[in-house]
Amino acid sequence: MSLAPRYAWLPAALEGDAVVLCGSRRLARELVRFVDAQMLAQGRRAWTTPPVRYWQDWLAERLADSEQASLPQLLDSASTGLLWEQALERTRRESVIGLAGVVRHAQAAWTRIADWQIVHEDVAAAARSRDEHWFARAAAYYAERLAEGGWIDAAGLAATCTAFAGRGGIDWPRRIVLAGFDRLTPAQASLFAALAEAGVGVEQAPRATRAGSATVTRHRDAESLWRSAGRWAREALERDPNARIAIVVPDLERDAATVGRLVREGFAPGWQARGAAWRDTVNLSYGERLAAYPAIAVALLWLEFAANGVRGPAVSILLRSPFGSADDPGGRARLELALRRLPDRDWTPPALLAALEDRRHPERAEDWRARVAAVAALHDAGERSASPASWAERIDACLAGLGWHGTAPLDSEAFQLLNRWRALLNQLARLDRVRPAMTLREAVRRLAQLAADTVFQPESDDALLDVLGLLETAGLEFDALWLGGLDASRWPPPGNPLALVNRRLQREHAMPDATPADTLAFARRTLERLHAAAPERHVAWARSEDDAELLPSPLLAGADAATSGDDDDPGWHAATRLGCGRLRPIDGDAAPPVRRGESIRGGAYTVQRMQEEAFSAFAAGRLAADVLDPFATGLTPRQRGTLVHAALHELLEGCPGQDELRRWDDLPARAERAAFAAQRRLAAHADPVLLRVLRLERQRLERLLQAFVARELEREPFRIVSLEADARLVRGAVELSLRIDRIDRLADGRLLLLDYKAGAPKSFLGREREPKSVQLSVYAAAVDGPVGALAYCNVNSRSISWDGAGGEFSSGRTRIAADDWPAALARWCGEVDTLLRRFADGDIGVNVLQAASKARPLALLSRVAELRHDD
Amino acid sequence: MTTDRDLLAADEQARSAALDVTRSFIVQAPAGSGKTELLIQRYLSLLATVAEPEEVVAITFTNKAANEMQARVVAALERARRGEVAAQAHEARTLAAAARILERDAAHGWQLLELPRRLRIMTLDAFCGSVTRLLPVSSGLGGGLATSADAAMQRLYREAAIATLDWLPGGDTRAVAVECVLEHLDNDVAAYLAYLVRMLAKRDQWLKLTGAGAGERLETIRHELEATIGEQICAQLRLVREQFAVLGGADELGLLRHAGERMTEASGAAHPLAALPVTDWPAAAAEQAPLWRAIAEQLLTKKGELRKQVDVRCGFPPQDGEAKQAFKEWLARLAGVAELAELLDGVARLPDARYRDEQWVVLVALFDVLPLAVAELQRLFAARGLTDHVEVAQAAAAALGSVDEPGELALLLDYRIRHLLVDEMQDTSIGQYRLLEQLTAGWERGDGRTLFCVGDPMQSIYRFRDAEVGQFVAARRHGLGDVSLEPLLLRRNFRSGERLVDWFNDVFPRVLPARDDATTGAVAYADSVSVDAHAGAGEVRVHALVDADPVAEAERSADVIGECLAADGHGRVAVLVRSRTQLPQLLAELRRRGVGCEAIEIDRLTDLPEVIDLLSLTRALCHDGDRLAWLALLRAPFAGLTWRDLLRLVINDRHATVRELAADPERLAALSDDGRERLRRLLDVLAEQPAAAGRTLRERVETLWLALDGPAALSSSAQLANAYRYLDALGRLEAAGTLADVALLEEQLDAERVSTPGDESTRVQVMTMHKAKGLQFDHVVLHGLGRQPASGEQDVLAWLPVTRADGTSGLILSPPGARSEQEADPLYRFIVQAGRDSDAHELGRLLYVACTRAVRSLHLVGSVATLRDGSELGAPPVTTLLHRLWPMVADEFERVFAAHDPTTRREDERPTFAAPELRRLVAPAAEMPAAPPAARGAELTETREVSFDWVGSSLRHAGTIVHRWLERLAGQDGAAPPDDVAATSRRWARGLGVAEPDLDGVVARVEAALAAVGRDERARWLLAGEGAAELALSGLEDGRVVRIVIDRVKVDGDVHWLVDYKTSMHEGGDLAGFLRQEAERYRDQLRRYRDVYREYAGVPVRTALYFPLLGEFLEVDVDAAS
Repeated sequence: MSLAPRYAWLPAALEGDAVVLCGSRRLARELVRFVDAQMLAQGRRAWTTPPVRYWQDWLAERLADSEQASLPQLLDSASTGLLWEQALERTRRESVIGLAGVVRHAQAAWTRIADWQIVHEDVAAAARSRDEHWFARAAAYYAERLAEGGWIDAAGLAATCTAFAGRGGIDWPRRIVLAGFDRLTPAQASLFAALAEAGVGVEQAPRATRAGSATVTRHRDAESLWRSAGRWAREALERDPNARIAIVVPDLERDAATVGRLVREGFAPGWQARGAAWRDTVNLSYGERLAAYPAIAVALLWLEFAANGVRGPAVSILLRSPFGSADDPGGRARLELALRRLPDRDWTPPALLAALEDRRHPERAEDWRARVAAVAALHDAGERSASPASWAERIDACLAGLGWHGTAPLDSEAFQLLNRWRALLNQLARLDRVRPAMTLREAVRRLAQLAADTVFQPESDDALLDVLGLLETAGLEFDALWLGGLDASRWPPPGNPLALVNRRLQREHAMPDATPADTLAFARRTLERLHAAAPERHVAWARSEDDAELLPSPLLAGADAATSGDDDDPGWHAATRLGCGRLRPIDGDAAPPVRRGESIRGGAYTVQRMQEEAFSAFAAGRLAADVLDPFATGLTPRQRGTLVHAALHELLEGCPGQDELRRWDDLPARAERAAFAAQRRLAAHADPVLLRVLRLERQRLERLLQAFVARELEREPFRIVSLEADARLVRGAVELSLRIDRIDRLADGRLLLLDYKAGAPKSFLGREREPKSVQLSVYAAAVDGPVGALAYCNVNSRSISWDGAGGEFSSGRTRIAADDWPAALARWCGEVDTLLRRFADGDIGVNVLQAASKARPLALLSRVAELRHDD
Repeated sequence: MTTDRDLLAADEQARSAALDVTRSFIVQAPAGSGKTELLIQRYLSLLATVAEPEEVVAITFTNKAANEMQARVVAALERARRGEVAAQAHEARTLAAAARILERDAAHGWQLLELPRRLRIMTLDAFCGSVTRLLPVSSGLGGGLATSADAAMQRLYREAAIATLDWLPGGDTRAVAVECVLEHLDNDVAAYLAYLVRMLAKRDQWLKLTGAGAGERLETIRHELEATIGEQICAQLRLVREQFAVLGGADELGLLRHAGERMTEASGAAHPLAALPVTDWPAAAAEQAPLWRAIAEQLLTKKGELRKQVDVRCGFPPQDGEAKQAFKEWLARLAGVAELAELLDGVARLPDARYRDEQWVVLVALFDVLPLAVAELQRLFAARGLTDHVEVAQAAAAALGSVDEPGELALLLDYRIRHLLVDEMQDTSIGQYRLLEQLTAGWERGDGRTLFCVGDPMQSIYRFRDAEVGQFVAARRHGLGDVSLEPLLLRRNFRSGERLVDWFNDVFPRVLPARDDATTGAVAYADSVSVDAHAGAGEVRVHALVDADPVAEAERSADVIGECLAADGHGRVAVLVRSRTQLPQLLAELRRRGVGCEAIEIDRLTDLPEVIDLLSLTRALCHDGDRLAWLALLRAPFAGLTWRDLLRLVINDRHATVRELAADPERLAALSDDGRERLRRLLDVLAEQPAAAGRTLRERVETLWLALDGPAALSSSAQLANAYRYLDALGRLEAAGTLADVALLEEQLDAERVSTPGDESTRVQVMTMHKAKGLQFDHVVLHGLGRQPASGEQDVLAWLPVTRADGTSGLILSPPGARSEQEADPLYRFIVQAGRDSDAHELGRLLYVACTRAVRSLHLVGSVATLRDGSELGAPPVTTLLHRLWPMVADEFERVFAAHDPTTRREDERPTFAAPELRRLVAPAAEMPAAPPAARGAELTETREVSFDWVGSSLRHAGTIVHRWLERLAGQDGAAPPDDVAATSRRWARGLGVAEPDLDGVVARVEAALAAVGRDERARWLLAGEGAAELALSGLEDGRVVRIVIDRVKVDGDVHWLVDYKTSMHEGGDLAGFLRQEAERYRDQLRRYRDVYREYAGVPVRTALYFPLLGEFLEVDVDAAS
C-alpha cells in the first residue's frame, strides 16, 4: 500500500480565496514551508505566500483591521496580566507569594471557562473553596474592567468574532479550512458555525492517515535516550535527505535546553566546535525564558541597577559582561577587584560612581564609568511617574547608550533575540491602556516579569530536525518520528485540572482533565494521532531517572510495535577523544631562582607561607596569584582588623611612653577620637546601612582602646619607639618589604617587636617551644638593634592579652628563660634565613597530604589532586 | 523468657493484624523485616475498600521509595491480571489482594493499569506540593514557583538575611531590633548573617513561635518558652529524685545540710545546701533546681566524676570526722550506681527556668528580626520564582489549616482521604507530624478512616535533617492527633543469618538505651528472630587493632575485604564508614591492590583531577582578573607553559591581567619560543569563542574545552561523566552568561559528590552508613570504628525542639551570642548537652543500621590507642562507634594488645611535599565527524545589521496606521479616506498601544499624512489603477527562502512599480540629502523586492520609496553602487 504524501489536502485547500486556519502557530509555519518546498521542487523562484494562519492571530488581525469603531480592543497578555494583578489585589484577603503564578492560574481558568462557554454566574454559584470564591470575585472584577475599557482579551476573541460574524464590519474570506484542531472547544465550534451561517465555507482538513511501522526501545536513562534519538534522526536523514523528521518530547518544557543538547550530540557530534552551522540543524520548539538569555539577563540587571540598585555580585556581572561594554576588559576586571575590597552594599549608580572615584582605587575603565553615569541619569529620573511607553523609550535609549547589543553585525540568533526584546518593550509600552503611569521601578519590575514569563526560541531556516513538544504536533505530518520519554511517570501525563474552578463544574462540562478518564482519553488520542502522522515511528523510554527506576508507559502495552532491548548509546562526542592523548611529563620544569630586582609580594606573610607550603609562597609572592575574596556584607574580619590597627595607630600617634599613658585622664575622649579617625576612610562612601554598622563598630573600638590602655599600664616600663615602621629584609636576591605594627623600647634598652592580632587570639610558641609562625622572627631578622622580645598583642572584645617570648612575655605557660633568649632568637632568625634561601632557590613543593579543603585555594594551579592520585 | 517461637507467633499475629483495614496502627518494622511488602499488602487491602483509588494516600520518605512502591503495586496488579500463582504465602496474600482490586477496577472503571498515577504514593514534599497547587491562593504560596533545595536556595537565604540590614537606617523598632542582635553578636555581621541563614533554613521549627503578632504577645511567648525549659528541668529532676529516693534518706540529707552549713560558716555567704530540708528530697520542680544543682556539685568533682575524697572545701573540716566518714561511705555506695555521675552532671548543668533580662531583650529583638528575614525571603521567592520545601510545607499547612468544617478538606483535595499510610515514620520531623495531624484531624475510630504508620525507631538516623524519633515513641503510646494507633512489632528478620541475628540480640540491648523515652529520643532494642532459611548462617568478626594509623587500618580492612571476596565467589561486600574522611587511605589501598570498587558519593566533584581544567577555564572566562585561574589555564595540559615562562609573563606586575601581559611585546619576547607559541594558540582558541547574546556559560566552557582537546587528557568514561556532571552543575549556577561571584564557584559546588562506578565484575561498594540505609549486602565491613568524626561546625543556633512524653512539641530557645559568651551560658550548655545526648542515642542507632545490612558476615574493624607510652590499652573516645561496642569487644582488643609490639607504633602523619608537575597533552589531531546530512559545512556567514535607533512608539504607530489607510485606498481610483478617519485611526492607535495622551498627536499625524496624500498628484497616480497592496510573496534569495510584503505594486503599462511607504518626517534643510540617505538605507530591501517580484511576475520592475508626510516619491536605483 502506498502512503499518501504529506499534507495531500493542502493544495486543494489553498485554491481560490481560502484561508487555512491552524490550531497552532507551528503548524501554520510548517504548512507555509511545505508550500515553499513544493514550489521549489516545481522549479519556481517566487510565489505568493500562502494564506495559512494560526487561527487566533488571524482573528486578532480581522478585529484590528476593522474600520468599525465600535469593536472592542484586544488586549495583549501583558495588559491582561496586569488587570488580573489588579483584580487579585482588589479581591484577595490573604497575601500570596507567587502572585505571578496566581495570575497565570486565573488566566488559565478564565480562558478555559470562555472556551467552554461557562457563564460567570455558574462559576460563582459552583464555588466552594476559598480559592474558588476568590476567583469568582476576581473574575467579576476583571470582566468589569474589560467592559469599562471597551476591551477584550484573547479568551474573548472567539466569542466576539462569533457575535460579529453575521453583522458586517469584519472582512471574512469565502472559505476557511481548519487544520490541526485536535479537539474544538465549544467556543471555537460556535465561531465556525457562525461563520458558516454567515456564508463562509468552513471545512476541516482531513486527519493524517500515514500509519506504518513502529519500534519500541528502552534506554539506560534520559541522556542515553535523547542522544540515541539524535543519531536515529541522522541515520533517517542519511537514508532520505528530504525526509521530514521530528523528535517528540512529552514534557519538553521541563528542560528543553538539555534535551536539545543531547539530541545534538547524537545528530551532529562535535556541533559545539562548528558553531551555528551545526547547532542550528536541530531546532527546538520550546526555548528558554527570555530572561535566561545572557544578553537579556544583563539588560535586566542594568535596569535593576538603574531602578533599585544592586549588590556587589550583580555589579560584578555588569563589570565583567561583554554586553554593555566590550572595551577595556582589563580595566573593568581591576575595577571589579577594587569593588571586592569595598564593604558590599546596595549600589546605586551614583553611589558606585562616587566610591570608584576614590583616589585609592585608581583603576580607570573610563568608558565603563561613563556608561554608569548614563545609567545614573535614568536612575535620577526613576522616582517620577511616567507612561509605560515613555519608560519603554527611555529604557531602550539607555541600553543603546550602554552599547548593550554592541556594534558588530548580529547573527541570526542575536537578531531574533533582540527583536523579541523590543517586542517586550512594546508590550510594556502598551500597558498604557490599563496603567497610564508608573515609576521606573515598576516599569522595570514589569519588564522583568514579562521577560521571565516569555519563552523564546530562535528559529532557524537551517534546521534539519525538529524537537517538538507533544501538543505542538497537532496536524503535523512526518516521514519519521521519534517519540521519546514515554515512561509511566510521564505518559499518560498528570492531569491538569483548573485549580480555581470547582471540580464538579469542570466534570459537568467535560472540561479537559476534569476526570482521570478524560486525561487518559487525551493521552490515547494523542498517541493515535501521532501513530497516524508518520509511517515510521520509534517509541522510546528510559529505565531510570536519578536513583529511581522507571516503567514504560502503560499505553505502550499492546502497542502494535516491535520491541527491542537497550540500544547502544552513541555517547558524548568527547568520548571519541578519551585515551587519545598522552600526558607527557616535562622534566626540568623548575621555578627559576629569584633574580635581583624581582619584586616579591607579601612581606613577612610570604615567609610564613613558605613555612607552611613553598608552593603557596611562590604563587602569592612571585606570581601574584591571589585568591579572590568573595563579596562580603558589612565589615569583613580583615576590615575590622584594619580598623583596630588604625585606631591603635591613631591613639598612640606620638609614641607615648608608659608614663604618659598613665597620665591620660581623658582616655575616653582620646579613644573616641581615635576610633572616629580610624573609620574616616570607610565612612567616606558608606551607605546608611554601613554607617550604622560603623557606628556600632566605633563603640566597640572605643571599649577596646580603653581596655587596651588599661592593659598597657600593667606591663613593665616601656616606651614606644615606632608605629607601623617600614623595614626591609634582604637575603641574597630576595628583598622583602615589611611593616611592623609597633616597636617598643623596654626598660633594658632592648626592643620589643609586636604585632596586633585582632581576630581569634594567637599564641606565639607551639608545643616544641618554637614559634608557630615566623612572622615575628622575620621582623627580628630585619630590625637593627637588640631585640629583647617578640610578642603578639591579642586585641578583641573578650580580652586584651599578650603572648610572646623574651622580656616579661610568655606564650601560654611557656616562657623562654633570659639566658636562653639569644640562642633562641638566633635559631628563629636562622629559620627565616633557611626559608628565604629555599624561596630564593625556587622551591615550590606542594603539600600533598593537605586536607582537600585546605589545599583548595591553590589547587587549580598546584594540581595537587593529580599529585595525590599519582601517589 | 521470650523464645524464638513466641517471637515468631507474635510476628505472625502482627502481620495479620496489619491487614485489618478497619483499624489504625503504628508498626515497628526492624531491619530486614519485610516492611515494604507489608506496606504494599496493606495498601492493596485498602484499595479494595474505597470508591476511588485517590482515597488511599501513601507517604514515603524519598522519591525513589515512592517509585519503587508504585512499581511493586503495579507489578502485583499485572501478575494478578495474568493469573499468576504465588510460590510463597506472603506473595499469595499480595496477589489475592491485587486480584480483588482488579475486580473493583473493572467495576468502577478505575483503569489503574493504564493510569498508575492514580495510585497516590508520594513523598510528603510532593503531597504538600499537590495541596498548594490545588489551593494556590489560600495556601498563600501562589503559583509558578520552582522548589529548590540546592546552593541557589542558600544564596537566597543569605540575600534575605542581608536585606534585613536595610532596616538599620530606618530608626524604628525594627532598626533597634537588628542593631540589638548585631550588638549582641559583637557587631560581627558575618555571624549575624550566618545565624539568620541557618534560622531561615529551619524556619518551620520557630515560625509558629515568632510569626505574625509575636510582638503583641511577648509575655505569652516568654511564658511558653520558659514553661518548656521548666518541663525539661523537671523531667531531669524526676529522674534524679527517683534515684535518690532509693539512694538516700534523712541521714544523707542531714549530711548534705551539715556540709552546707559548714560552707556557709566558712565563707560567710549562704550556701544553698544550708537550707536543704532534711525530711525529704527536694521536689522535682524547676524552682528547686538551684538546690538540686548544689547537691550535684557537692557530690561531683569538677571533672564530673563522683567524689572519692571530701575535705573542708566541701564542708567537712577535719573536726567533723564522723560526718565526714559517713559522707564518704555514702559516696562509696553511690559510686556503684551505674550512670549516676552522668545524671548528676546533667543536673549540675541545669539552667534556670527563667531567662535573664539581658537574654530576653535579645530574644525580643530576634522576634522582630526573624519575621523581617522571612518577609524578605518571601519577597525574593516571588522575584526569583523559587521557593523551598519549608515554604511549601508551611503553605500546605496553612491551606489545610483553613479547613473549617468537616468535609471541606475532601472538597479541596477533590477526593476525600480515607486511608493514610506513612512509611519511615521514624524519620519524620516535628513539622511533618503536625501536618499529618492536620490531615487526620477529626478522624474517629470506626468512621472508616485509618492511619497506618510504619517505621523503625531503631533506624532513626536523620536527626541532622530534623527527624524527631521521640515523636514515633510518643505516637506509639498516645496516637497521632485525634487518631489512636495500635502498636505492632514485627520480629522476623528475613535478611540476616541466624548467628548475626543472635549477635544483634545480644549486643544491641546494651548499645541502645534500656527504655524508650520520647523526650530524649531514646529507643530501646527489640529482639528479632531469623527465618528458617537462614538457620545456622552468618558470622560476626572483630578485627581489633592497637595504635594503628589510618594506613594500617586501611590495610587491615583491605585484607578483610580480600578474604570475603575469596571466600565467597559471588557475594557482594560493602565497606561502610561513618564519614567520608575515613576513606582516602582505604581507597588508595584498594587501588593499590587492584580491588575494583564502587565508591558511592564519596568524592567532592571539584576535587577531582578531571575537573581542574574545566574549573580554570570557567573562572578564566568569567573573570579577566582571576590571575590564579588564568595561570592555571596556562599550566593545563593543553597549554603547558613552564613555570619559567609563567614567571616571565607576569613578573613584577601584579595589576595587569594575563591577557594584557600577553599582549606586551617585551614580555612575549622574554618567553621561550615554545612558550610563546603555546600561549598564542591558547589565546587564539579563546578568541574564537567570544560571548554571545544567547550562549550560556556552560556551552562556552564545553565548546572551548572540546576545542582545546580537553577530553583527550582524560582516560576513562567515568572521568568524562564527571566532567559533564560539572558542566551540568555549572549550568545550574550560572547567571547572565557568567557567574555571580567567581570566588564562590568551588564552594557552591560542595554538595556535588560523585560516585566512582564499578563494572559488572565489581563486588565491593564503599559508602557511608547513612547511604547504606535500606540496602543489604552479603558481607559488611565497618571500617574505622575507633575514629572520631571531624569536629563539625558548632551550631550557634542554640535551640532544641522538644518532644514531650505525650507527643506534643515545644521549643527551647537561647539567644545567639558570641561563642565565648554562649559557652558560659547554662541554657546554651543545656541545649548543647541535650543535643549531644540525642546524638549519642543516634550513634547507637547508626551502628544498628550499619550492622544489620549484613546478610552473611559482619566485620568490625577499629583501632584503639595505647596510653603511657604503649604500656596500657586505652579506651575508644566516647564519640566513636567503637565506644558503643566497647563492653562487648574490649576482650578482643585486650587480647590483641597483649600481643602488641609497642615499637611498631607509627609516627604521626607529617606533611609530604612534592614538586608540581607539568604534563603536556600529546594527542593526534582530532578528526571531525561528518556533517549531518544537508548541513552547510561552513560557519554561518550571513549577518544582519539592524538599526535599532528607536523610533518613538507613537511615530511608529502613526506610520502603521498610515500604511493601513494607504492599503485601503489602493486600487480605489481616487477614493478619499472616509470621513471618520479620525475615529478609526484613534481605535487603531489604541489597539497598537498608543497612550491616551499621545492619541491626538498620532491621529493628527495620520490625518496630515492622508491629507498630503490627497493633495499629492503623484500619490493619486500611485494608488489608483491596477496593482496590488500589501502583496505577500515568498522567493529565493541566495539559496534561501525570503518573505516580503510589498506595500504597493503599481502597474504602469509594461512597468511594475514596487513602492515602499516611509512615514518619516524631516525637519530642517537638506531634504535632498535626507532622501539620499533614505534611499541608501533601503536600497537592499528594495533590491530584494525587485528580485523576488521579477521572478514572480516576469515583468520589468522599477522601485521607489514614497514619503506621504513629505509628499516625496523617490525612485531608487537598486543596482546603483552604494
